[in-house]
Amino acid sequence: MMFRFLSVGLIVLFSLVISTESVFAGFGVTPPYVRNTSLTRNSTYEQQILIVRGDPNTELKASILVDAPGFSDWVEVLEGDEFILPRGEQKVPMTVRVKVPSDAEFKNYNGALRIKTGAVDNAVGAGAVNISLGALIDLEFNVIDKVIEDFKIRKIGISDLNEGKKIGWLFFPGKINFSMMLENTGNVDVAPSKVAFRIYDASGKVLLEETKNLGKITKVKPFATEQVVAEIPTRLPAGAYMARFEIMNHDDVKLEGEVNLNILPYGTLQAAGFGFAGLSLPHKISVILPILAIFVVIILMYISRRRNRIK
Amino acid sequence: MKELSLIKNSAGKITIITGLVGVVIFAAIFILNFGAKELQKVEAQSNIATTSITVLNTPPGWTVDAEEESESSDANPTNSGDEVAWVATATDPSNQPYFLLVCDSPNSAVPAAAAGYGSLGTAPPSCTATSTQWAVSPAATSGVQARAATTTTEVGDDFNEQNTWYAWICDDDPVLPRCNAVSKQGTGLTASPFNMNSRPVFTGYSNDSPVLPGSVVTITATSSDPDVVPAQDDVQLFVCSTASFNVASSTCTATELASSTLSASNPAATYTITIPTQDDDYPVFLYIIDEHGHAASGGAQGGQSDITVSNAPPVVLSNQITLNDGQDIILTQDAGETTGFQIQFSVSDDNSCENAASGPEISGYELAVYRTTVGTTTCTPDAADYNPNNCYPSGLATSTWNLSCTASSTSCTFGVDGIDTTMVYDCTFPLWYVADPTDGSATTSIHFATDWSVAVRGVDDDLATSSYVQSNTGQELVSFLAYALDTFVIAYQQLEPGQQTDPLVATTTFRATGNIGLDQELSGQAMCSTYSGAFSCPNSATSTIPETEQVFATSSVTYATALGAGNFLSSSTYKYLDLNISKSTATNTQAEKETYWGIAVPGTITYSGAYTGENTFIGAASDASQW
Repeated sequence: MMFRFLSVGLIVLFSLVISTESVFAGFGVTPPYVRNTSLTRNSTYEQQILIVRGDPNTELKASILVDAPGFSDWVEVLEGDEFILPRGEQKVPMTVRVKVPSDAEFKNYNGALRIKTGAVDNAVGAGAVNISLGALIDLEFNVIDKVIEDFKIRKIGISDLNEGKKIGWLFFPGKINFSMMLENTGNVDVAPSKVAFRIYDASGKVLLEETKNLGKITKVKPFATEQVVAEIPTRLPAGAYMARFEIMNHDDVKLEGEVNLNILPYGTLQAAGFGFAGLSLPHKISVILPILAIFVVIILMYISRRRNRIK
Repeated sequence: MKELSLIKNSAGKITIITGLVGVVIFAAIFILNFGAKELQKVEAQSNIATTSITVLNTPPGWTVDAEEESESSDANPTNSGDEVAWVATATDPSNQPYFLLVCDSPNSAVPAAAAGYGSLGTAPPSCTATSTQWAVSPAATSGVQARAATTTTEVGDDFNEQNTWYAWICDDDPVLPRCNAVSKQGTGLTASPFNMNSRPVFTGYSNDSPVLPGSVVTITATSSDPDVVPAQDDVQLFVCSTASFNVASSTCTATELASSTLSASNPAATYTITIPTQDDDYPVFLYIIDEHGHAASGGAQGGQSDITVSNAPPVVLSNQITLNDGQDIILTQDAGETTGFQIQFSVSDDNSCENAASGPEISGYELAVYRTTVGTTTCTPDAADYNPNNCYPSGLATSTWNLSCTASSTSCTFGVDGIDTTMVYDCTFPLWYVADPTDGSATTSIHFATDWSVAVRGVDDDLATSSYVQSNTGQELVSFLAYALDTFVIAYQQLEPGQQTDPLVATTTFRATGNIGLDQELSGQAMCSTYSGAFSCPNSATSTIPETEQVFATSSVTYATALGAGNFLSSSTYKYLDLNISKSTATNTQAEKETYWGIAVPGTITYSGAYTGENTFIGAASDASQW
């Protein structure tokens, strides 16, 4: 029989013996805690915990017991206080949500959350001391009166790109898509304030171009980890380059380093380049001015017509 | 001279005939008395002398002085093989054609006479035998510019580097051909002498390869120029991609890879090998010109020099190594290996990602996954460094650590774009349940201040290796609280009502099957014959054994001791037991400890039969100091 019950037969015949069955029961959780030290009032934090069984050949019921003095009503398991650990599922996710009320005190909160397993129908083996297994999950929160705008870059990525292209007098630069796996370690939405590239020749000796991201980078919500992309223009021709990058959070350099950069001849990749946004300021002006002029002419013609009608 | 003598012999006869005719005419006039006054005068004159006159040919005169048609000077010499030309304009008093003659010394013109007046312009003059004739023009019409030209050869054949010239204008009068007594030497830049530019001499070459991509290769030519007026001529080396050189424009027909500056001899051109360039031999073709753009001929001109690009070791950048796709490492297999963790890394090579045989230039890797504080010195790819707690080297047999990496089929596009230096590898690997956790804090984890990293060393097709580079960003390995309860029985002693186990001898065994140390929380329900998960036992002194009668301890203490310590079960409160099970460190055995149990059967119990109850074991992380 699987781990859910360690049957210990207890028969009282004015003497006591223990009976029982052999069991090698495995159970676990990861991580065994829910922690956040930068919660603010009205903030919400979610963390996933995996419940692991060594031998999931029977469906079980997981019961959640929240032991959180003074903040038990903040803590919620999205799957409910009881949920099923299906047969055959070696690991089952469980999400703990913490919703900090608007009147929460600014202090540390410590508690525990216990997971206890049992038979789905609460059945127990008759004439035995049934044994159920469970795990203790620490709860540790700190509610603070401070905005923390910080993040950690867990991973970066850069893919090959097409070189820019000249259409008429307009040069549309190539687009470097610089992806970042960003973990918001603060308590407000955050994104890198700037991603700067210094692009060198392949040997890394000759600086060829300095550039930075255009447009805003999508912000990541507090406590979340998401991939965001910085779009960086380059006017360099096809070739192999070495780029030194800096990911900035205002004045702080959150990550810096070197990456190889391969710019391919235009049209090699089926990837979109920069549109109007990538044009240099003079080129933008050279496009906007004629359009503005046409608008002005149209407006003047309109005004002139109206005056003629009034006359 | 024969013709001249004939003319001289007949001249006397003509004079006599002319005299006789004159006498006849004079007599007739005298007899008829025509114009008596005038005849008297004639008579008077004839009384003084009889005149005989020969009108001689006069030489052409200079209208426009001779000069070089194009400047041929120190600064702008005429290349060997090119034409030097002179022009001048003369007017002949007899309106005869004339020739422009250019010699190397003064007083050297010798006119020639045409065969007759009907063949004027067919006998060009020449220079004296002791002088060198540079050129003579075709016959030019009087008043029309004449042009004399010659094609130069190399110095030493007929020309010196600097050649003085004198220009003459001559006619070829059949009777008395004449040259103007005055020779001309031009003025200004087009004046004598004319300068001849010899070809540079190019006898050999060398280069200092093998060199690495991105490095400078120097190609040296053994070459100089024989011209020394007014100073040694400089020479210049051109390095071309093909065996073709445009002499007229002094440029490579295809691609000019490099060129030297002008130097007096042995010019050297430098060329930076682009990145990427495959390790191979690359032919280049060498051409020498002098400072006047005159190309060498023969010898080593156009010779092929092979530049050997050597093998560059691969490079791994720390930012292009990603462990587990930027995610925390979460173990989920208790007492076993959790599979499917990821590594992605790029290896670049200045020889490109593809070798000259169109195979992979970047052929392999060595790596290790480790707890960062273990470091790359302790945890190398060598199998001997293996420790399932903190170091997983790629040198292990896959039966021990099943690392699996594949080169991305789409990452190397060198064959398409010719510039790709990078090969991307995607790997999966397992970790044992004992891998050290790095999350948490000082009280909850030993290694809370570090994380896990991967270090990679790239290997190329020549077995050159990169540095052993650690990923720039590490990943946390998450605490895994897992255990196994594998005790067969809680073997209480045989007891009668009113008896208790003393000391505690029944045990349950708790094994740490995760990566942290463990404690226990225990609770239990009262035992009776009617207990179920939904219904508790009735409060009966005769048929219910309260949960509080069961006690526990970490050792075989007396029942009273356990009870006195408060280690008795409760149905409402979980009792914490500091088992202090260490973190497991071996893959085949786990750290374990026993919980000692005891029970007291109340003396009031009268119900005889099977009792049912429920005890709950809650695994809890122990303090990190107890791991």
